[in-house]
Amino acid sequence: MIRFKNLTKSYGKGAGIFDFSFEVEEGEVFGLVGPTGSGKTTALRMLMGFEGPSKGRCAINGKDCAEAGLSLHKMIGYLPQNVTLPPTLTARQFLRSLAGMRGIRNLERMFELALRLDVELDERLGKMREADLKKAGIIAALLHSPQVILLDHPFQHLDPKERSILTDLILEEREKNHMIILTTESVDCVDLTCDRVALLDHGNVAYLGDIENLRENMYRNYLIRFSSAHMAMQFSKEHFEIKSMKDRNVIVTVQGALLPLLRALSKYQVTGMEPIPLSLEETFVHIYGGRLHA
Amino acid sequence: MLSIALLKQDFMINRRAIVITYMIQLFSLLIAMGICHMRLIEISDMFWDTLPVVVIPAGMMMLLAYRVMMAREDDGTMELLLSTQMSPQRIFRTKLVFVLINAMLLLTVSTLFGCLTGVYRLTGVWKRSTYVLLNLGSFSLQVAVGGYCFCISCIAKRTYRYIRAAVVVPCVFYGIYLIYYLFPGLFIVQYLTPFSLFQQEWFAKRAMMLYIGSFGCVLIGILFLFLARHSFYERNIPE
Repeated sequence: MIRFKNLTKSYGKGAGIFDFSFEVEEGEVFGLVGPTGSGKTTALRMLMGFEGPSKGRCAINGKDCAEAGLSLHKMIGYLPQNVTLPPTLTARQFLRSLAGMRGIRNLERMFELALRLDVELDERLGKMREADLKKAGIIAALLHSPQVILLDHPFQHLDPKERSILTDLILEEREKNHMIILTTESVDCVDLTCDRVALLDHGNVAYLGDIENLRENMYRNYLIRFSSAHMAMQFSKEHFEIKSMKDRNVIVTVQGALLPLLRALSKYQVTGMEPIPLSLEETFVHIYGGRLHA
Repeated sequence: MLSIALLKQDFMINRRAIVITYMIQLFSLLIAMGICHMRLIEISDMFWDTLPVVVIPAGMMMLLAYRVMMAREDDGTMELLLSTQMSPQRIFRTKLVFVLINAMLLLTVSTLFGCLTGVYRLTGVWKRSTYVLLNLGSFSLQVAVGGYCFCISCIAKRTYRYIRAAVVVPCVFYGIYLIYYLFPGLFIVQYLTPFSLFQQEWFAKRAMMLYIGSFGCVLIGILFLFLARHSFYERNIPE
């Protein structure tokens, strides 16, 4: 179990993390979601023992992260947010040396991950695009089959196909009863992977709950195209929150289930409908509006 | 104690820099050999007793100390190393040994080459034994230079600060030390800098001062390495 108990790290002027208290169980994927500067990376770095707390503590399997350090690193796989690797080495050379540092002789897992993530092992790290570097970092984090996996912005720079593969990998690790914490700025990224999420704002936990609850209470915007402006005008009189309207296009905000909207739309001639990703700011506005219960 | 995997990794990352340094070193000795054969006694013997003994190995120390420590902090690789089960102590020791071993190997190779080709024989002052002693003494000087550069690499947070402290400062000191050779009247300047602990005539004459000077260099190096260790642990081991 990973436990945060009143964990606080203050850097002054309001920066840092404040009073984190939650637990991550074995076989659980936990998401830390928040904008830049909300404390996601700090939380992971404190689990790694790279920084000591100002107050409170964090522990993995009962061992304090700031004190246990080395003994915990054996069981942790860590992906930093910005993966910069020695540019003159190939991925194979770097991962081999990392495996050597961890005392791993059998490199089967490395080859398996490289195949699944489609990483060209003999390409120089300096010539790789950001996504490939990220994937090499993911391989480095999962190489030794760690019990605890800490991924800082793992989906960043990845295309949808690569995200799908990474999602599968994360879910497989969960099936092995490993503990996974991942951070992201996008609520959509945690939707398919996480069991529970904490939404962070300025170092504080604004929301803590399971992903089902978040999904049900999430606000989503949809762009609906009607066959005529008149029909759009008629629809705007329905009991839905209209975010904006122009000619025959209407953007409507829906909380939770989509069925009531679909039932209402069945009376109209709709030529198109697509979801519009909600920005994190908008999600937070809705959360702070008190419509979600933490 | 040491991580062989990390030693190998550092060698792989820095192999080009190391090879280039060896090439410059041997090129300098080849020029010295040429001078010797052509009996161009008027030309300074700097190609065998200054460049390959002081300047090139010191340059290698400055470069490797930066590349194994500061550059790794800058590019985030150090954090990945710290996230393995290697302790910060082991990482520090391994990187330090890497830097010093390269100095030792460079000087060993160039000493062997110099002995085989007799680059020192032109003036008739130097013998093989004193030439070997000079290079052994140079290793103690490189411990001082390497220790200082390693220390700056652990303390400085920006590359330009490293260059200012670990490259410019030693170059200025060495320049001050060399002023004496251009202006012998200003003999006092040869005693003003740490390079005063490494004076070639002590080795040529097998003077007692060469042992005191070499010991002084090693002591300075060790002091800086303690400071480097303290700084590295402070940065990478939480309170």
